[in-house]
Amino acid sequence: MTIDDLLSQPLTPMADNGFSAKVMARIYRLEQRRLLANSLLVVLIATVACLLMPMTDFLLQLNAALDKLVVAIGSSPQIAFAALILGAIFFYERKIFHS
Amino acid sequence: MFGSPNSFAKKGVRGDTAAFAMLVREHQSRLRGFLLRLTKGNNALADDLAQETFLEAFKKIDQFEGSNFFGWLCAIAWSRFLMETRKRKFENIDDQPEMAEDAPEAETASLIRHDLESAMAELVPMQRAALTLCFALGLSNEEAAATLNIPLGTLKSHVNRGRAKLSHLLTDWRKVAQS
Repeated sequence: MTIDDLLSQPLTPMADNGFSAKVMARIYRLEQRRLLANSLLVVLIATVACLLMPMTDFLLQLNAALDKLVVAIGSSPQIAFAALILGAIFFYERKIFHS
Repeated sequence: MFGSPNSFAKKGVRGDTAAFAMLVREHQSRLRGFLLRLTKGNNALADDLAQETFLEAFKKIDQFEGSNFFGWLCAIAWSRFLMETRKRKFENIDDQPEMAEDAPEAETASLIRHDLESAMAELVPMQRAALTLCFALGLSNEEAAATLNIPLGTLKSHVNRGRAKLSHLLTDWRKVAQS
């Protein structure tokens, strides 16, 4: 056997014995840490953005819009009719269920 | 069934951990064998370096552009090994007692193989790496040179010197055994 033949013998196969699982567990932990860091960064950016945004005008407009919405819902006969039907169905089913 | 290793590597670019797990399972044996030879049979150190290598490969997988994923892994493993050698400057890996008793080779392989591993341990790390990549792992000279980040001529020089030293050592031991 020449020295080249000897050197060309493949390396002895190594049994896995949980090696791949250990590597993957470390990779999953790494990924989780990366995701957590990204999420914290997004929350931080959003918080800073909220603090820096001119919120007063926005909140006033939102309040006015909500007022209009509540009035519109309260004075709508269609919504009142729908609520009436839903209530009737609810009580009817309850009665069937208990009988 | 599952595609080529390089297609796995490309899936890994998209953060597909399942595909990367396949890559780890596929290459762990040869990579650990390579590192075991570099560390002269130190199983624990070889496994630590192999884990670090796979972790770094996962982080940097978007930088893999070549056609030989295993060669790329070996390049990372080699740089990790060099870092470890520098870190342990005062307790050089090469000066550490050989732990061949713990290595699987000692349990199962023939005496010739054991002699080869012992002779390999006498070489400098660069020669060990060059011979292992070019012969046992079947990389081309160009791939091995790229893996070790050295010019082709330097690689050939390391291979020739290492081979000559191995041949010399094995012949000497054979003479001693026969006398």
